[in-house]
Amino acid sequence: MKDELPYWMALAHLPKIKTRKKNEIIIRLFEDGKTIIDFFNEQPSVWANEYCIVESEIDLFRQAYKELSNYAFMVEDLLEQGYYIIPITSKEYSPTLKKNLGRTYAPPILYAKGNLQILKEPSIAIVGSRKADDISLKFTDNVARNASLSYKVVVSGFAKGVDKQALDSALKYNGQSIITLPQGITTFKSGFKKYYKKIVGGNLLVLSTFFPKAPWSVQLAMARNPIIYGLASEIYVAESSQKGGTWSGVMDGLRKGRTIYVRKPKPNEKNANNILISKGAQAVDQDGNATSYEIKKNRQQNESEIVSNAVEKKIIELLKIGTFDSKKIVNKLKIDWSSREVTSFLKQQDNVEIINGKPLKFTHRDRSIASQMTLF
Amino acid sequence: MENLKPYNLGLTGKKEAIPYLIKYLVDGSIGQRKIASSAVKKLFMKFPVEANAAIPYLINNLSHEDDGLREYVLKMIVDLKLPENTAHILNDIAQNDASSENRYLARKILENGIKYGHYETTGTVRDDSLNGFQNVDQPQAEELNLKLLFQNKISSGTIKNKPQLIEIAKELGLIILRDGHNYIGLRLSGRKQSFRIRHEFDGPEKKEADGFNSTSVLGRITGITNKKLFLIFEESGLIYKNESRQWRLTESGKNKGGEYRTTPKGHAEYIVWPGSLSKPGELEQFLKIGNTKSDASAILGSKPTSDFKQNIYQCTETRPSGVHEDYKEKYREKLAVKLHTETKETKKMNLQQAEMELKKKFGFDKFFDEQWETIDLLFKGKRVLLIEKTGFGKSLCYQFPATQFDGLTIIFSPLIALMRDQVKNLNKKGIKAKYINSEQSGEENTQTIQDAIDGKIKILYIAPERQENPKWLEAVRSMDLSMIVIDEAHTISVWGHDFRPAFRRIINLVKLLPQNLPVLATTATATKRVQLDIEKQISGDITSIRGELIRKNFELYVIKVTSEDEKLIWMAENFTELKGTGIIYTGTRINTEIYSRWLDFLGFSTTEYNAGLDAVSRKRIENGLMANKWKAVVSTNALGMGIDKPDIRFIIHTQIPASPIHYYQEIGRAGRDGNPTKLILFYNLTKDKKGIEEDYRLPKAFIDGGRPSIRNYNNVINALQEQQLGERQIIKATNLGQNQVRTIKADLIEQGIIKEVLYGKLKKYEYQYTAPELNTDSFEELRQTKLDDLGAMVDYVNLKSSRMKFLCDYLGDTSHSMFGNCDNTTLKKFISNPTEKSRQQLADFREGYFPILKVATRNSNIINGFAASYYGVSNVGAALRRSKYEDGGDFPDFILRLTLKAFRKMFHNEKFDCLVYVPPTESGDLVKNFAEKISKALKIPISHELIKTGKTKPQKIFRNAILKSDNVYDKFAFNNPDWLINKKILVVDDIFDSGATIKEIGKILTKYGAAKIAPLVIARTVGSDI
Repeated sequence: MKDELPYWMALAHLPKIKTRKKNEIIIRLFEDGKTIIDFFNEQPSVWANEYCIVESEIDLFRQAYKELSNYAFMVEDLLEQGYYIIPITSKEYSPTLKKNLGRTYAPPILYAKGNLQILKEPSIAIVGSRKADDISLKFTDNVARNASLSYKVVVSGFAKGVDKQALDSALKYNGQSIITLPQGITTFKSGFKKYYKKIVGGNLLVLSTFFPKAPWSVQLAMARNPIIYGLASEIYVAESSQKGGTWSGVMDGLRKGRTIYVRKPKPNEKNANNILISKGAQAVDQDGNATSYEIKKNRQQNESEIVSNAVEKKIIELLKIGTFDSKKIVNKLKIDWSSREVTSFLKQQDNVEIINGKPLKFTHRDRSIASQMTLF
Repeated sequence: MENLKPYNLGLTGKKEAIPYLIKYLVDGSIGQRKIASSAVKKLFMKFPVEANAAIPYLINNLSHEDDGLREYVLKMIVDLKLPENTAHILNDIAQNDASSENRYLARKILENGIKYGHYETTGTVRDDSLNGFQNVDQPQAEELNLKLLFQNKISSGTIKNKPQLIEIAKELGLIILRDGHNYIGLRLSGRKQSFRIRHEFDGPEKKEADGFNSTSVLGRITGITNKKLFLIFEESGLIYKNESRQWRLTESGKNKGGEYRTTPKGHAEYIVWPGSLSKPGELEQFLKIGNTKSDASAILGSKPTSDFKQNIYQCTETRPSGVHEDYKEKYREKLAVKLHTETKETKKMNLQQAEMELKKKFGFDKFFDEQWETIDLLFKGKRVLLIEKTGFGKSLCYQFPATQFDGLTIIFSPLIALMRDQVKNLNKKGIKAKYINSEQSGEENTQTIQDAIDGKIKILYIAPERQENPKWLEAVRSMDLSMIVIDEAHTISVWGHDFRPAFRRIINLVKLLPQNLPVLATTATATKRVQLDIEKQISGDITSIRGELIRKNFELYVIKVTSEDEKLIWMAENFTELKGTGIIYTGTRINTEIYSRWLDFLGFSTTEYNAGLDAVSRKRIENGLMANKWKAVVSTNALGMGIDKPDIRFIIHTQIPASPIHYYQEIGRAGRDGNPTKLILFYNLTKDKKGIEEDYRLPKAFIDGGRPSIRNYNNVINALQEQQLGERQIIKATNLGQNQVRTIKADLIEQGIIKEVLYGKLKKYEYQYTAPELNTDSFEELRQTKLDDLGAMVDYVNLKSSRMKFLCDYLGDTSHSMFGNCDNTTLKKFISNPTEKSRQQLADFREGYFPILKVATRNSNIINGFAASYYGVSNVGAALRRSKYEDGGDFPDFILRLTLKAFRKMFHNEKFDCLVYVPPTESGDLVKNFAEKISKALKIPISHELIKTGKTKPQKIFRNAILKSDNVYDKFAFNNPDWLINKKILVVDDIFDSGATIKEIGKILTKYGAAKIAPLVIARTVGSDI
């Protein structure tokens, strides 16, 4: 696998080619059982016909081929210094990142230093403004502490404010953490010095998706934000205004159906947290738990709870034997839920798989087996 | 269909019902499906053979949209515990099916099967046999037999290429289409069933061979629609594939009413046209085409109706004509992609052409056989390990190809002298070559790097330590590389005699290079074991070429003696007999001085050389050697690697080297011109109290003490677990010697416990999270191997048979049987027989020989001084020890006499105003008393004003220069310093070690205005004498 790394770098850092296209090449190779070395050794006509690379792009690939020796030097040097180079087909690659970003955005290659096992652990990210209030920072500390206690990794971007607080808190409570750099991994000198013991001790992983020598820039800082979201299974929002990075990140996440928890602000606070909650994020209290309001609501439904439970059970049982949309479920089971209620109930269930389409269909997870044969 | 209910036909419960039921399943309504599936399930359980046979059909017939149906079938298959050979069929579908959905499904079934224990993964087994399918519908069976038919014809060679395939297909009334790697045969009438032949006509390896090439595209298949299979060829101009491999309508396609749909799951996109186009003439109307074969559209219905129209156009031309306008452009673009080979550097040149170039560029007429063998392989992009004796002409094997390649050739070499010489010679021949190493300034190296990037150089020599230079690594990215050469390749093997950790990184690099980049490794000294190690490390497709090692012009001698003096005396008596210029190798640096002075004393012109010299001095001596400036250069084994002097006439070893390989390499530098050359080895076999021979002791001590203790390793590891440290910081933190730290560092890196990381210009060492436990087994193994090698060297000394044969055998060259030219075979032995006259000469020499103290430096007025003796030589050291640590009283008189003698001889021209002495740390007034005696004898006034201002520890407890300097830094002062202005001061001390104390005093006195400071000490140490 190591001798493939120069080829991976050559592909990953091709200019002007979209990530999606690179990943589709990778998928095609995977399906055909070929390696990236095979790919680069193909004739340009094969590139054109089999991999849909157009004329204008062929030269870029040719140039990359020519630079393979040079990449070899770079790979040798990176490996010698203890950096890891992780292509998307490697088993070290974060499965969460792959799932969240998909073939369109998942970076073909990751550079990392530290304990690689961290990439496979359940993870959260705590996002918020760079100029955060104390109450937001306290929230961040609480959530980070809880995460560390329950062995969840905290993903950070090493940015000022909430982000940095998340990192520092996680490390303080002896939890594990990922720093997602807005720059190339070899440029993080002061960070490696400061966090040396944590890295050596296995609690911190430093990660970068950019060219190893790339210096910090605004573009890279922006490009890095989706990676943070991608690496986390759950997102906690400490504080957001109605525009800016945090806002757009959360809105995007909600659109994609991500699990996002937003801190319920105090009545006198001036931020957009409530708006986010109204848009579909889940409200949580200062400790990161679902707010008492929700629990109260459930308690009110005490009586219907027993009935609800029975109905819920029925629905789940039904899904174990087939795939149905909400309307069908209602009809089949002759329950008095609206199909919308069924849909939202099922969306929240961990053991129910949602199949996209019009209408949305549901089935029980046990029926579909995660295929190792697919890449995404 | 409706009439053909199985039970109507009386087929209930009979296997004949299966096909009908399956049709229901596939084509029927939901209700019919329900009935059919439960019935089929039961029948499947009863008749597994038919079940097997039916599955491919079922799966092939599944339409995309129908989730429910797929569920049924999946479930049916999964729950039924089908026999194993279904796995093969499913596997085939999982790999070869045109539709990704089918592939996915089949995979899922396979995995279900594995999960439930039905199947085992046996890897990808392709079994296209048609077991069990014969009983189903005749037409189907026919089709599948067709598949077999084609397979057989292909494998038996009846069908060798595509035209033949098409021919036969035509005869059978089939259309042959191509989709990706598959050929799809379709019946003209009847089923939409298709079969697949996967044959690597178009596989990547067989590009031109079969007459198939990518331009002979027949057509592409779109997705499958609900109920209708549309086969629209690209060439029809109605559709095309966009950049993301999705089918899209061209303008004309849209005009014809084409639309595209996606299956609800988003798995497949497909294109539909209105109507069934099955009425006669409809197709032509639709496409507005004539009856031409070359045209492109075929639509087949899936319903097996009898009035199925045969509106099919056989598209078996290799190139479409009459292609629709706006598609032509796109198609042409694709075809226009250049097809020339992109393999790097397969240089095509035969021997004749090469020798013409050789004459032109290098002035030689011919290659040696092994040279051409090597060069030929390199031209083909291969990897070669070349093991040839010194003087063979290994350099030509890389220099010549380098001039023929387009890009840059990089040569990794540890030999700075060699680089210099070779670059000079190449540039003389008009070949642009340069080097990068520590001898050059930073600016020169940077300029060289830039020239390499700009393509201004053909050959670049680099010391392997460059891999650690960030500028270099950055620059290499932009260089156009054609070949990599590793010189002295034995240095990459730990089993080799001269392992260099920096070379190990070169190996990592070589493993990452593209496979067709030529790599050449050369060495003169590699035993079989080392050769295998090198081959394994370079890996890939590597050829080893080994030449013979015998040096016919060598005369090998061994002289056994009983004392060091005998060696010196033999030299005195026999040196004149040695013709020409040569090299004398000694075991220690002190001995280089002693032998060189002794020979000077005898009237011969010599100079000394060792690795501790600065670059300027080294260059001066190397150049002088080339110019025969001296009769001999006396050196440690640092000299000679790579020196290109053809006429070194003798090499004398006063101390045995560590192994026969070292010896072969060290003598290998002599006699390149083929003229008779004398190689002499001394061995002192006097046994000490423990029975160990004298000359065996020193190398054995090196091996035993070579490695620091395990405790020290752990100290370094612990230090690095706390923080990142640079080399100096490690030295400080652990109080270990510089060499020790370097050895430990290299071993820890080797074992993956630490890594060296570059931050800008700073090198820091980092402990790795994944670090394994320290492995000390390999240390012991290596130590044992080294002891074995040393033992072999002693065997050489004691040999009674041919010495050359012994050396060749040891190095893996067993090619020759006739050996002569040593003092065991054809030559007369040299005997050591010292005369009284010679002994006296030696005694005289010893009396007048005083070691120099090199302390002179730019920022200080201190000059070089002298010691009366070396600490470890003669009885001086013992006497000092007695006085200092055993209460032996003041230094004895003979020491005083010797010191005065040294002064008179070396400082007789100097006038001193005053004498000071170094204030003591722990030995009381010994030095003071001694200084007073000196002062009286020389009549130089003594001053007691040089004092210590701070507490110091005895220097001897510090193991390295850095700590020793720190210890004495700023610790001295002079009372009434004004007196010192413009004075000449003599500084007296007992022992001179690192010189830190003397240098510091020199600095202080200079600060106070002293004009000249000269040190005079009793004994000078070398290494860890104390």
